[in-house]
Amino acid sequence: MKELRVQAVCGFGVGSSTLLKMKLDQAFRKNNIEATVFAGDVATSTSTACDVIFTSRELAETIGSRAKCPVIVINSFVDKVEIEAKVLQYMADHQGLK
Amino acid sequence: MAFIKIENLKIRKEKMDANEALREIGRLMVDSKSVQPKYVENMIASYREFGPYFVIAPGVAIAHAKPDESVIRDDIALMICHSPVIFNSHNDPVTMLFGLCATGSHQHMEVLMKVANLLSDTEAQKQIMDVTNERELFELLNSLSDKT
Repeated sequence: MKELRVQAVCGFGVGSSTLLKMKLDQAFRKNNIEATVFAGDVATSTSTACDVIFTSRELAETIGSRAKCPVIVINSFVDKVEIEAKVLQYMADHQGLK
Repeated sequence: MAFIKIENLKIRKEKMDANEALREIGRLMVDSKSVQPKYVENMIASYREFGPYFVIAPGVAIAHAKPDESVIRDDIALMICHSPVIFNSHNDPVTMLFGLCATGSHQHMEVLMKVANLLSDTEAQKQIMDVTNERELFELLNSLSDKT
């Protein structure tokens, strides 16, 4: 399987997205999934090549249909359990990981 | 290294609306000479434009704006709001409001990592809500961040 490119998106790509990136890194690592996770800002997020976007509910609405990849909503950026569950759900739905 | 400078900590009991709270956390960073007043206006404009996405977890917000020339250096501030603030987020009401400014480098990563650890620790958050002055808060944050 080729390495996944995962984008964590917030308003400017420096604050909350960086936090989310750290939590996503942990979730992928824990499940032995090779992924490059990077932080991005909402304005350029849809023109940056990636396999999946993780972001907040508000920004998911802003990104909406402009995204060329699945957009996954995270309610709490520090909730390990929620983040891991959504990572695994994405892997099952889109990457055929059981 | 201190986790968050004592001058950048504030405990507020008074009721505030979202914009007042953003101004207040912004003022801490202006007073620390980490941002110019323009940065605070940018934070408020960002809230108006993008909504309360920076309320990233139940009760927790990390307010910030774009890294630009109004940022003097990377810094972080924290205000504990005993009268919780409403941002119209699903994670309302907010009791821990962080303010963040970054120059675009990755220097603030380490401190964000500490914030993340802190926020995954519900016991630590309870302790933080119990302190009554900034000095106690400063000491508590330092002892919590030494643990991780």
